Amino acid sequence: MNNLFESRKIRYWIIILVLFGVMYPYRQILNNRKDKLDLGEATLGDVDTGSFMLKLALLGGARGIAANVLWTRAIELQRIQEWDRMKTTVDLITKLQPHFLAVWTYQSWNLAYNVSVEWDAPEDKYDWIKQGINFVRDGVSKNRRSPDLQWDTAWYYYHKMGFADEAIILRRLFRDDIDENFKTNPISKSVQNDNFQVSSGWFESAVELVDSGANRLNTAIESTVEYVDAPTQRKGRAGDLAFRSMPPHALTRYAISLEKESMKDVPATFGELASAEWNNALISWKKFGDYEYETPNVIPMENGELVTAKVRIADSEDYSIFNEIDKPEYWQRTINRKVSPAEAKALAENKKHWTDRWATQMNYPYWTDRCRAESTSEGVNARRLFYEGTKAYRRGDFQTTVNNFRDGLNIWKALLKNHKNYNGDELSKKDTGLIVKRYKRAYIQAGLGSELPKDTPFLENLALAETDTSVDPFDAQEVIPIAPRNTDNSGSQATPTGAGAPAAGRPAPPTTNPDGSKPVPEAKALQPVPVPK
Amino acid sequence: MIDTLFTIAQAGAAAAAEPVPPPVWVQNLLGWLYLIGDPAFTTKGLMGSLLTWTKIIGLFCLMSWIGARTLSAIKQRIEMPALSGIAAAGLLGGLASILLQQLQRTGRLSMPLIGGVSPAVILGIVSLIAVLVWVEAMLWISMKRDSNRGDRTLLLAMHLALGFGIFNGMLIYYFAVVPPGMTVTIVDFIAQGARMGLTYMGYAALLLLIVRLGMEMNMFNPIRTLAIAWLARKEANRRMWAPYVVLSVFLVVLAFTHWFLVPPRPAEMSRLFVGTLTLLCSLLITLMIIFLSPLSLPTDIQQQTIYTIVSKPVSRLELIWGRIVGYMTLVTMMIGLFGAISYIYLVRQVNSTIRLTNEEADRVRTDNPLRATQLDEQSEQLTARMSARVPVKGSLVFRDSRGVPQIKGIDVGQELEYRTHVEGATPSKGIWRYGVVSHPFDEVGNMAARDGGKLPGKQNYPLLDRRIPVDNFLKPGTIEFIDNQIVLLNSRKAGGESGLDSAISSLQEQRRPLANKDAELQAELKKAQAANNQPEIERIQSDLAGFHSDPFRIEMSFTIYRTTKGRVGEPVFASIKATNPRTNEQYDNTFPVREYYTDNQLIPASLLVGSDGFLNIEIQCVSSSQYLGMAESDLFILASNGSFFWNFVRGLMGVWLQALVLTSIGVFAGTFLSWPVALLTTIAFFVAGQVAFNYLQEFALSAQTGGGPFESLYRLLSHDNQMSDLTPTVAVITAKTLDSLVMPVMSRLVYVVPNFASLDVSNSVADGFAVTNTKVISNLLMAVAYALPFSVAGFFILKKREVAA
Repeated sequence: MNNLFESRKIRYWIIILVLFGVMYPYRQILNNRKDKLDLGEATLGDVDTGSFMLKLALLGGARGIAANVLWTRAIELQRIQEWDRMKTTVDLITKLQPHFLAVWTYQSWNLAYNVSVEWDAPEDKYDWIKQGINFVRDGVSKNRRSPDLQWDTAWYYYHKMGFADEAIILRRLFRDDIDENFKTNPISKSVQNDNFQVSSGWFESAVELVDSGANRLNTAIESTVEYVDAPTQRKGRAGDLAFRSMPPHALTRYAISLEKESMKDVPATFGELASAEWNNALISWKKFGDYEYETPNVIPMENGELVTAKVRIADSEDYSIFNEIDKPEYWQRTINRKVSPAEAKALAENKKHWTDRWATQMNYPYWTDRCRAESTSEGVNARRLFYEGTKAYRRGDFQTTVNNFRDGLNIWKALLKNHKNYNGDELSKKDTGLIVKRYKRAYIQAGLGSELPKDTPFLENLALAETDTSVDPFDAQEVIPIAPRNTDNSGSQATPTGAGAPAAGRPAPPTTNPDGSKPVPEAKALQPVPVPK
Repeated sequence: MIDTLFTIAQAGAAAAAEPVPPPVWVQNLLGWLYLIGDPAFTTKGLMGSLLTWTKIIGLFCLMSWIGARTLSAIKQRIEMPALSGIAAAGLLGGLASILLQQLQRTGRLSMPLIGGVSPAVILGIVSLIAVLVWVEAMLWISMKRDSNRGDRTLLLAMHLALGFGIFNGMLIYYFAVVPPGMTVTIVDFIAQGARMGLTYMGYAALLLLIVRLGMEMNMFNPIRTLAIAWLARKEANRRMWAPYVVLSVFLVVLAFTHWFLVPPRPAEMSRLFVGTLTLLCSLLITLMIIFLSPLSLPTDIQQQTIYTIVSKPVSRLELIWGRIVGYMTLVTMMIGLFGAISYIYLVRQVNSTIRLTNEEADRVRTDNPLRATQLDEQSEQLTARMSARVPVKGSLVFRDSRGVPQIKGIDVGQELEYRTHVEGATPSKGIWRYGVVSHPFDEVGNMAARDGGKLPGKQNYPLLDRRIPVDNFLKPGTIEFIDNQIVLLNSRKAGGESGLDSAISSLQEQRRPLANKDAELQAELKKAQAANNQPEIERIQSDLAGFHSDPFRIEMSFTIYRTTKGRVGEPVFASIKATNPRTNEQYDNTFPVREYYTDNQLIPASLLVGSDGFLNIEIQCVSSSQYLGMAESDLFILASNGSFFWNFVRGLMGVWLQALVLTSIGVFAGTFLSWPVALLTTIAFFVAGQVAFNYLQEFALSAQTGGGPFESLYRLLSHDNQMSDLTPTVAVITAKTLDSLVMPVMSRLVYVVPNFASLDVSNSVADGFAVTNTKVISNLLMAVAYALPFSVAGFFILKKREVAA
C-alpha cells in the first residue's frame, strides 16, 4: 500500500515536470506573439500589480461577471445617493478591467458631471469634478495609447470646469488648488493656474498621440462585432476636425478669460501677457489650419480611378493657391499622375468646396482674425479700457466709465478696420454692442445727454444689444450682483458663504412667519448659540 | 375572508342591523383562541414574536413527529394494498386537482360549479382526506409496533386538539356577524377551525418535545459539555488549521486595503473602513464556520472515532451543544483578535486622516478659504462618525406651499423617494414633534381641524412616545435644572395638589444666589465685550457656563433641490424655529444648508425648562424657488455621544451572533447528512439568509413578478418579459402547475432561513450611531430563537440515528 502510494506520488511529480517543460516553449511563443501584436500589459500603460494579481489569481474568467455585479451595485449606490461608496465600487471595476475604455469614459463622466451636480456647494462640485478627472487620468496612465481618454481628460478640464454655471468659482478653486499634479500641463510639464491652459495641453497631447499613429484601442465588444454601419464618431480619428480644433479653442478661451474677471475676485490681466497668449492661440489655430485633411468624397477620373484631394483649412484665408489649382500641372505634382484639364477643374472645384465649407464650419477666419486683432497692443489696450470702464460703472463712477468706453471704442474701431473677418462676425457685433449699451447708460447717468453722439463707433450694434438682456456667465463682474456701497468697492460681494460663514452673507431671518401665522405674543426669543468650529 | 369576518365579529359590527353582537366576554375569549390558534395571525411586540415562534416550532415538531412515525411505519413493509391504493389515489387526485385549477385559471377549461364550489376544489379536498386517512393509518401502525406513553398521549392529544380547533371554528361561525352581501358557509369555518386545530396539535407536539428534552436535561452535565467543546476546538485547530488560515487571509487583505479602498473624501473614510472591516471579519468567520461545523460529526461517524465518545455515558445533547460551544469559543477568540487588529488599524487610519485633513486645511486657509472650510467640515464629520451618537427622534409632518397639513412633503420628481421637500419662501415646512404625540396620519387631520377652528376628531392610531429625556440635558445644580423643577411643581400645584409650597420656595431660595451671580457675570461680560478684552471674555464665559446646563445640539442633514441656479455660489438658507409648547419659549435661527453634510444648531438648554419632553421644531426653506428635502431621520436631538469602541464591539457582536446561528445549522446538518451534503446545506442556508432573504420574503407573499421558478424559466427560455400574460399552452400550464406544487413549500422557507443580514449592525456603527441595548437584546433573542431549535432538532435526529451500529 505504502509502495503504491509512493510510486503514485512519483508519477504525479513526473507529470507535473513534463507539463512545466512543455509550458516553457509555449510561453515563449506566446510572448513573442504578444510583443509582435503589441498586446502586453506593459505596452498598454502602467501595470497595476495588485489588479493584475486579482484578475489572474482570484477571479480568473469570472471577472466579467464580477465587473457586472459591481456595475449594477454602483448604479444602485448612485440611486441612493451614496456617492463615496459608489466611487470606491467603480474603482474596483477598473481594477478588474483596466483596459476596458468605456468604463473609464462612462464613469469619469458620471463622476464629473452627474455626481458633481448633485452637490450644492461649488467647492463640493469642484471636489467631484476633480474626482472624475483624476479617475480618467488614472485610465490614461493605464492606457497610454488611447487618444480618447486623453481627449476626455482635456474636455473635463475645459468644459466641466470652464463652462459650468459656477465656472467663475470653480476656476478660482482650480487656481487656488495646491495639488500640483492635478494642475500640470502634460506637454509643457509646468504647473498652470488656469484650467484652460491645462486642458489645451491635454487636447494637444491627444492630437499628438493620433499623429504618432495611435488609434483608439478596441474594446472587447468592438473587435468582435462587425457593424453594418460602423460608428465613426470616435474622438481621435486623424481627420476629425472638431478633435483637432480643441487645442486652439482652449488657448483662445484662456486668452479671453485673462481679459475679464473670469475667476471670482481675481482681477483681469492685460499687457504683454495677454498679448502673448492671444499670439499663442493664433499659432495654435494656424497649426490646425495647416493640417492636411483628406476630402471625404472621391472624384472619378476619366479612366474610372477615384481620387481624393488634400485640403488645408488655412487656404481659406489666402486664396493664392486657388489661382494655381485649376491647372493640370498642379495636380500632376500633387497626386503623381497625368491629369486632363477637365479633371483638374473637377478636382480644383472639389478642393475649393471643402476648404470653404470646413473653414466656415469651424469659423476659422473669425478665430484667426480675432487672435490677430486681440494680440495687438491696441487690442489689449481697448479690452483693458472696457474692463476698467465696466468696473467704474459698477462703482457708479460714470465719468470714468464714459471716458474709458469712449477711448476704448475709438481704439477698437481703428483696429477692427483692418480685421474684416472679426468685425463682420455676429459674436463680435454682440460683444461691442454690449459695450455701447453700457456706454450709453453711463453717458446718461453722467448727465452728458440722453443720446450718444452720432459719431460714436459701433452705434449700429446698439439696437441689437438693447434687446439682449443675457449676461456673460463667465465674468464675475456680470454674474455677481453689485455689493452694497459700504461693504467693499472691488465690485464683488463677500465670499460665498459656507456653513459657519460670516454673518454678512446671511439674510436676516424672516420678520413674519411666511405662513402669515401670528407670532405668539408672550414668545421670548432665545439667542442662538454659535456652533463651535 | 375569514380574518375579515372575524374582525368584524370582534368589533361588534354595529353596521349590520339584524344580528345581535355577542357579549364582550365571548368576544374576548374568541379573540384569544383565534390569536393563539391561527398560524398566520399575531400581535405586536415581543409577545407576538414569541407566539409566532412557538407556533412555527410547534408545527415543525408536529411535522417531524408525524414524518418520523410515518417513515417508521413504512419501514415495517406491511402489505396493505387498500391503504397504498388510497395513498396513491390521494396523491394523484391532488395533482389532478392542481392541474384542473390551473386549466380553469388560464381559461382553458370551464367546469360547472357543484353546490357553489368548483369540482377541482372538491377533488382536492377528497384527495387531501385520502392522504390524511393514509397518514392516520400509518400512525396507528407505527404505534402498534413501538410506542411509549408519550407517543400514545400525543396521538390522543392531537385528535383532541383538531377537534377543539374545529369546535372553535364553529363557535366563530355561530357568533360571527356576516355583513350583507357576503355569503359564507359553515364549510369555510370548519376549514378555518382545522387550521387552528393544526396549531393546537403543534402545541401538543411541542409539549412532548419539551418533556423529553427536560428528561434529557436531567442527565446533562456541563463539565462533559465543556470537555466536548475543548475537543471540538482542538480538532478545528489541528485538522483544518482553520484559525491560522483565516488569520493569515485577514492580515493579507488588511495589508492591501489601501489598494482597493481609497475613500474619495476624508468625511466618509471611517464609514467605508468600518463597513469593509466588519464585512471582511464576517466573511472570514462565516467561511471558517461553514467549513468546520458541518464536517465534524459526519467525519467522526465515518472514521468511527465517534465510538470512543458514544460508548461513554455522554448524552447526545452534550455532543451537539459541546460542539457548538467549542466552535463558538474559537469564533469568540477569532472575533476578538480580528476586532482588536481592526480597531487599532481603524483608529490609526482615521486619526492620521483627521490630522492630514486639518493640516491641509491650515495650509490653504489664507489662499483658499472655501477649501479650508470644506476640509474643516469633513474632518468634523469624520470625528462625529467615530463616536456612538444617541439620537432623539421626533415625529415628522409637513405643511405644503399653501400651508395645508400633509403627511409627506412635495415630490420634486427625484428617483429616490425617501425624502420629500418643502418649498422656499412659502408656508411650506417640516414639523418635528417631540413628546407624547399623535401618529402622523392622525396629526394631519388634527392640524387641519385646528386650522379650521375645530376640535381634533377620533384618533385611529396609537400615540407615539417621542419625549425628550429632559433630565439628560439639564445638569443638576444649574439654573435651568432648578427652573425646570419649579415649573413642574407649579404645574402640579395648579393641578390641585397641595403641600408643594415649601418645596417651591426652597427651590426658589436655591435659585436666588445663582441668578444673582449670573446677572453679575452677564454685566461683567458686557463690559469686557465693550472693551474687547478677549481673555477676560473667555474667563467670564467659562464661569457663566458653570451656572447653566450645556446647550443641546440638533443635527440635521437636508438635501437641496434648486429650480433656478440662484446667485452663483450662494447657499440655500433654512430657518429653524424650536418651540416649547408648555412655556411658549422659542428659539429662532437661520442657517445656510450644506448638502450631504451635517448642519448643527446649538440650542440653549433653557428651552427645555418645563417642557416635560415636549418640543416642536419647524424647518422652513428661506430661499425662494428652492426646495429643501427632508425625511424624519434627517433631524434629531443629540442625546449623548458614546464611546466608539463599545459600539464597535457591539458591531462585532452581530458577527458573533451570525456565527452562532450558522454553527447550529452546520452541526444540525452534520447529524444526518454526509459531509459534502451537510456543507452544501450550510452554504445554502447562509446564502439564502444573507443574500436572498428579501427574495424569500417575496416568495412568502407570492409578490414576485413573473411567477414562480418554473414560470420564470419558461419566460427566460421564450424571451417573454416578466409582465406579459402568457398564452396558456401546454408548457405554460405545466410550468404553472409545477409552480403551484413548489411555491407553498418554498415560501415556508422564509420561516426556517434566518435573516442573517438583520443581525448585522455594522451600518449603524459605521454611521456613528449607537447600537442600542434593545437592538442588541432583540438580535440576541433572534439568534437564540434559531440556534436553539436547530440544535435541539439535531439532538433528536442524532438520538434516533444508530450512530454506533
